[in-house]
Amino acid sequence: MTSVPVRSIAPTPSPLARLMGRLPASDSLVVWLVTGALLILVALPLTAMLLHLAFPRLYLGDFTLGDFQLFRDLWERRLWRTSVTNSLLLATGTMVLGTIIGAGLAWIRHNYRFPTASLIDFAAWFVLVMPSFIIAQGWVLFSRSSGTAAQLGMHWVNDFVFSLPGLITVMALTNFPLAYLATSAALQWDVSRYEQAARLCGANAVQTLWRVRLPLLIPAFASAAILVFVDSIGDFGLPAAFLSVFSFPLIPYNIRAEVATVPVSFEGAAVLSFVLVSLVGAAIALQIRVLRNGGRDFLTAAAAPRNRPKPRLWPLLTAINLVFLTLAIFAPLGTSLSVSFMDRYSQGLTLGNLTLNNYIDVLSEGSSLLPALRNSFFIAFTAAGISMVVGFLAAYLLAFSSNRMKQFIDVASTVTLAVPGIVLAVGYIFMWNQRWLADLGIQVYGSPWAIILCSAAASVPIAVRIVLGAMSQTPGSFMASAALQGAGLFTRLRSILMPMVLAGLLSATLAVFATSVFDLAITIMLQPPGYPTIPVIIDEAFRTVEYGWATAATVIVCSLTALIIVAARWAVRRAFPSFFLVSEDHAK
Amino acid sequence: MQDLKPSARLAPLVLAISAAFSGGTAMAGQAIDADDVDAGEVALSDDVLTVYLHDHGDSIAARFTEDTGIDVQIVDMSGGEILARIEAERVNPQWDVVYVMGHGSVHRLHEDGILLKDDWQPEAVSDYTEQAQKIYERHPDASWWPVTISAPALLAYNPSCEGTEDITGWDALRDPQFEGRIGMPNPNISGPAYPYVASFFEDDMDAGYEFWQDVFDNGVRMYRSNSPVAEALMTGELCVAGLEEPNTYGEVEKGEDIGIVYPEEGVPGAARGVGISADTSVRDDARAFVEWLLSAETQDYLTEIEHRNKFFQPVNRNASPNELLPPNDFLDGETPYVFSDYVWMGEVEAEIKRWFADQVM
Repeated sequence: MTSVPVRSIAPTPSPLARLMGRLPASDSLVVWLVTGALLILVALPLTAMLLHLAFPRLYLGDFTLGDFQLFRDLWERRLWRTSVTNSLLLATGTMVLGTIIGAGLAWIRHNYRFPTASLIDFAAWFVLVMPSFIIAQGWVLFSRSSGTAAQLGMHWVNDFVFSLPGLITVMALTNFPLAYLATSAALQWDVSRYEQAARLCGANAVQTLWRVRLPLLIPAFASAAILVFVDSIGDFGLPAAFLSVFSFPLIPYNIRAEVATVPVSFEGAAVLSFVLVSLVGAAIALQIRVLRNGGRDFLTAAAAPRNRPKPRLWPLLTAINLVFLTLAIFAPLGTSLSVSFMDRYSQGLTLGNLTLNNYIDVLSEGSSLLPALRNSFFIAFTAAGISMVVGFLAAYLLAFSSNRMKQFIDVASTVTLAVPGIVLAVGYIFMWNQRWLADLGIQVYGSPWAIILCSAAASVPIAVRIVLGAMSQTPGSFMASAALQGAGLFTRLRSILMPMVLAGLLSATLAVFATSVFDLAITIMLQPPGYPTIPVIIDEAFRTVEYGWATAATVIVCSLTALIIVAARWAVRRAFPSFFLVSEDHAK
Repeated sequence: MQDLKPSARLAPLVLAISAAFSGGTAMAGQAIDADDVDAGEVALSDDVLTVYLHDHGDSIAARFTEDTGIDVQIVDMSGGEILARIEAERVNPQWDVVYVMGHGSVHRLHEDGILLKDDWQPEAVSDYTEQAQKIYERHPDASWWPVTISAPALLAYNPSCEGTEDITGWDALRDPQFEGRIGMPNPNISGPAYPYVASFFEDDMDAGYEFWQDVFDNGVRMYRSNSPVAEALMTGELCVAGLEEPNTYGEVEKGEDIGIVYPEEGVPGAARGVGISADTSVRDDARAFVEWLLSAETQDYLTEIEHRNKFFQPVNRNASPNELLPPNDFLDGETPYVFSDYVWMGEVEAEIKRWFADQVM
């Protein structure tokens, strides 16, 4: 869901770009299209949510001004107060621990050479792509009082995991990839000449580390920390999974509870959403401040990939690495895998308890998995298609156009990074569940389109940022010279930009596809009745303690999704080999 | 019901979106297949009866269509979810019939004007058992009817816990010897849990708060629904729990070692109620569904079918009792249900639920 927010590229237009600006501008059509799409996807739902804060009975067509009593409930109601405190404690703790884990791993990975080092990269991407509720369910099965850990004789795991420090640990192990990837980018370049200069001036090793190396890395650490904070505080999957065995009120689950339990309170959901977005907004503002004040222009042409020695301590590093991977991946996912083959969960992993029945149940006639698979894949394909098109066109405008709508496009295509999925979904309910829309014959709420549009909106920033990264490497002169020779805008987009960024576009689309298949927060809020989807049926099976069924379905769907991703990559690379040569040469 | 044909109602949007991406890739001209909207079971359409219900949906759908020839789309959700959906869809209801645990909740829909107001009554009401008659006669003109009666909670225990053999009444929940090993479903999330907790408030609100405060002080654990409570009871995480009657018998049927107590103070009783939407466009089909659900044949069928919670106590006196159930002292005679005043229960619902929500830590 989250990636590093990159600031907008190319603020000052080059002479060539200015020339392009004077060319016959079919840009305005693209601007109009992208603006319209972002309005529908992002701006209107969020505006509708804000309107609800002012007019709580808006969905009934009643424009009575709210009395804002609900804001007072934030400290008067124990549940709300507790969930705000809990959310802050959990996210702050996760921020600290997750950053230590992620940055520590990145430090080891980029400073030393040892066996199994490359597994860290694999683990980081793997955990990043896995939906948090699936990982969390693995942890619940692992640490319950009769779970895998207890069967292995580790009874203390239950007491530990179902406590605040335990939740922080689990969440840090789920969110460390963000910190790892954010700090890796800074750590993989060698800037030792600054350190050498300091040593020449008489600084000792500690002073060098403290005065030179760390200040250079602070922006990276700060970004990593804020990313982990933002992702933790808005996460819905983990509280949903843990709630079946452990009461620990958090804001995201309470938002869901406000609209999904009696008495229904849409205004309560709006207030809690507003609080959540404010917390995220404050964190991001802090990040922008840190980035502005920190020196980050230390990468010059003299930077080179860091030279990594193999230290004498390499067996220790390997051991740390393997223990960590076991914890982060094997404990939750290994547990899920093993439970999927158990006849009865309470009897543990014994030979007599092994069965394929769960898989047979999941795949048999009448199982809800097959319709849910079809529905979820349809949602994910369509959402990926939408965010690919919007992302590509928006990135083009951000990189090459100087239209005055650019600012809006920049903000609107970034903002959902900071808006948790559960809040975005609340905005979608407010936006689309209105009588006048129904009277116009537009029925998005209660149809799969609500999930599709909301998933696309949540994914647009990822698509835009990934594609923009590839596009900003493409010189504007290519586009300008093609235009001078009479190539129209769409010819230029198709024959110049597309090939240059195809690899990025493919990655972005597949990432959106994978996250949309499993997005519990958006799907559970917007799922039409009688329209089963993967995350909801798996969550439901887990809730009604059909662990065998839930884990077997998880294994099948994860494998299928991975298969589709691998197949799509392979097919596209085979169909357009030369496009990939271009981008790979570029990467070298 | 409004026009539900998605391909039709989405046409403007689809056009707008295909126009928006005139590059013409994934979206162009793609309307939604009605089959997709309905998981491939039944095509969603304006004319098809839509029922929101909790549990055993599949068995009902097939049998109803077989018996009456009327197409039906059954939407199976949890009890709390159904009521919340109905509220969320108030501006634009998508359902025709609701069938859910807790007749108090159904009656509140009637009071809010969400249920149909006219003088039609199903023929089967004349065959109601004595218990059902008592509930029905309180509001014979409302558009909802009791379908089955059960206890939203009785006391279930794990016999391997010491001291459980002496349990006789609800005070077990605040007995210090079970401290930290008591469980219950969360009344804010689970449908049957509200009538259960509310019954303790009926005589005296303060006494109710006092009782539940003691239970909280004794370290009660709250779960999202009844199934995890039953599971925690089985694994020994819990010793004593308030557990829904159908759920309890479901576990007994599976052969789990579980003790049952019908407390001497009595068990709360609640009916599943069925009601018809004021907004329905298929009034006759909705009535046919209610009539069918209350008929002796259907009630017999519901006592026999395999579903998650094997317990269905008929309200039609011409139907036979449930043969799937294990022997029980009460099933031969009359279960000592205590019925709460459901109108009162609807009035205090928000207050009690809010108090519970604030106790959950």
